[in-house]
Amino acid sequence: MTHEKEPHLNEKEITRAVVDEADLPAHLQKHLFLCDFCRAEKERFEKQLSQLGRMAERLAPSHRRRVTLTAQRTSRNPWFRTWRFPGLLTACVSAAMVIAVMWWTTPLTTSLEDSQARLIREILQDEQFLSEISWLEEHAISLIYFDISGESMPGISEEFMEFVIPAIQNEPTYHEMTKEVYYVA
Amino acid sequence: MDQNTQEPHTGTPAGRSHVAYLADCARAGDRSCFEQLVGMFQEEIFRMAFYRTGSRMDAEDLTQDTFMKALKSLPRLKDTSRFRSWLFSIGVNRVRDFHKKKRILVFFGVKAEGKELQPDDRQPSENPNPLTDLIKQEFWGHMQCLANELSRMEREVFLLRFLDQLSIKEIAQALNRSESAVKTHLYRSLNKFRDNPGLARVLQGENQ
Repeated sequence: MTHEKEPHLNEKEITRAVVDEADLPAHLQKHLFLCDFCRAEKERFEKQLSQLGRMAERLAPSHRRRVTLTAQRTSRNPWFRTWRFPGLLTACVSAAMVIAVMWWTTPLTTSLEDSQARLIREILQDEQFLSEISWLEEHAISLIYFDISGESMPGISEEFMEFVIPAIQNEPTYHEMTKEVYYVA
Repeated sequence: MDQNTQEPHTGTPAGRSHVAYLADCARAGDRSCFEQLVGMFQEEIFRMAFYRTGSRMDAEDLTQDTFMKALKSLPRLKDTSRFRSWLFSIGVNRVRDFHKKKRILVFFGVKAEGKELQPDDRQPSENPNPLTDLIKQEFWGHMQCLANELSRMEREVFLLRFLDQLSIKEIAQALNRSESAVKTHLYRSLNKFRDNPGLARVLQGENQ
């Protein structure tokens, strides 16, 4: 017969036939149909694979615990039972910890304290300044002495002014007055 | 043997329609129909999980998970004639999630790394015959060697075809792949199987 003159199927072709004989080229399918040797090879390989499955089934243990169908859960799980909840919780806790660490380490709290102290000092300085102005108002030189004081006559010396208008020795200066009143820590 | 359409466990077309009928009833809310489906398929799903984990306890847990997931997702199954491949699809995904979790635990040093296809030696043997235990050990050892040589898809297709006895069409549905892709992976896995003399020796010894 003509099929005996054709070469037999090689191992890969036999394998392809075992997978699906219809995938073989037409001439090989015909040869396989007519050749006893090639058909026996294919069946031997199929038998070996079938035996593999049976042996695996025989050597596998039998299961002792039967499947039990418990009450079906409702489709609407509480939000804290969803699989996403642990991940979200972890993310929130991590973010809270980061914010807490940043809050305690940033200079915001110290700068607040500094600004309060600075404000107090400025208020005290403003009050002191206003007091100086008030004192000057009370102890202003009258207009008639402006001429005598020499401010409008740059050519007059200080000795002449001292002769004309002697200084009052016991009158305290402004700083001597304010020293007792204001004490800034 | 028609490799594309035969369903060895459901047998004749009448058997296939019975599964579809039960699935239709279960989808409508009949709990007893689903329990019948559980009775029909729990051995297969258990073995499927055992082949991929090597542990009976894990396989039992995964079987329970698979059927609970199937019960919950049954309303979404549109074609009940594909129930078997759909169930295997759930089971394969559950096993995949199990291995992902196991890899994370191994990475953090919580769990020791183990081999998938080699059964847990700590489990007491069911058969007191030491020869059977030896054959079992040798068989699963060679299966593990073969599994190590196969890629993930080749291994999955090989196990589904020759250990779980699914047809190529069912495998394609379960893995959401085309039939030609399944055949390609099957062809490559068979070539590697041929190159594994240990398994052939075990199978030959079984014949004698």
